[in-house]
Amino acid sequence: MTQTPPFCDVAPQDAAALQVAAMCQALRTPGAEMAAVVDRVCEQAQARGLDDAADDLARIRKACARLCALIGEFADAPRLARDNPEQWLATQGHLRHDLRTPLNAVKGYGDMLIDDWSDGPGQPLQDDLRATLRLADQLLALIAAPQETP
Amino acid sequence: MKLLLVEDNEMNRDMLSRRLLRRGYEIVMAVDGGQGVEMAGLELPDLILMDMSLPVIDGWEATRRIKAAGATRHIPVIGLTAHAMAGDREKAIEAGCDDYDTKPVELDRLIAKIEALLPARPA
Repeated sequence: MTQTPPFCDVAPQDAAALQVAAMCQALRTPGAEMAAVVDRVCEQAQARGLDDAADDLARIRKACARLCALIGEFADAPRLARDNPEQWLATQGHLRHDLRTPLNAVKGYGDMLIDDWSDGPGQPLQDDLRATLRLADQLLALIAAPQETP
Repeated sequence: MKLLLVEDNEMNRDMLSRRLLRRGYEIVMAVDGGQGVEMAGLELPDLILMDMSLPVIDGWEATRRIKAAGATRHIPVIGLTAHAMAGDREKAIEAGCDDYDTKPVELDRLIAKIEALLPARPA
């Protein structure tokens, strides 16, 4: 007689909640890393006297903070996914949409600064900016819905 | 070539307009759908980049109005949205958009779409 492994006893709604909890955790890590890298770029740019970039860096920082706040709004998602799957679907759609707006700003301003810092005192900061863009792409991949159109 | 960028988010408007300026386009801007329709008639741009989630009049309705007016119906419109869901593209095309792109904007991809729709430049 075959025995059912214990993990198969998980109710479907609990399995959904676990899946959502894993996704929330997956979002938090690159979000926090991005905020830390951006803080470092801002500090180093200031130390190098890259005053022309101050406004754009402040915008990246603001977009990052917005991103982290939105990711924080996912904190209640596992409970919602378990207790009210329909409401979770709607909330998820809005959050995925809202996350794209600050990601758009991070990627756009980041790209511009990489161009601006192709030489001169900003050049050593390019690697950190590229890391920021990679983390943005990672987040984008995590929030991409299966039915997305490019 | 003159582009009208209709975008309500200040950061995205600033960023995209500057990136397009760097690529040699002249940019005029509107911050909501109503202003977008008005600017389209006043400025007669070569192409319109229309965010779809806009205050006052949304991008779908603004596009319908632009495409319904004799003076502006010939202007190509590219719809921009952060929704990126199946059906969004069809919804934008139904409203009259000539093409559609998603946010975050990949500049080279967007410029390829712009160039495909712009009238040929004189040699």
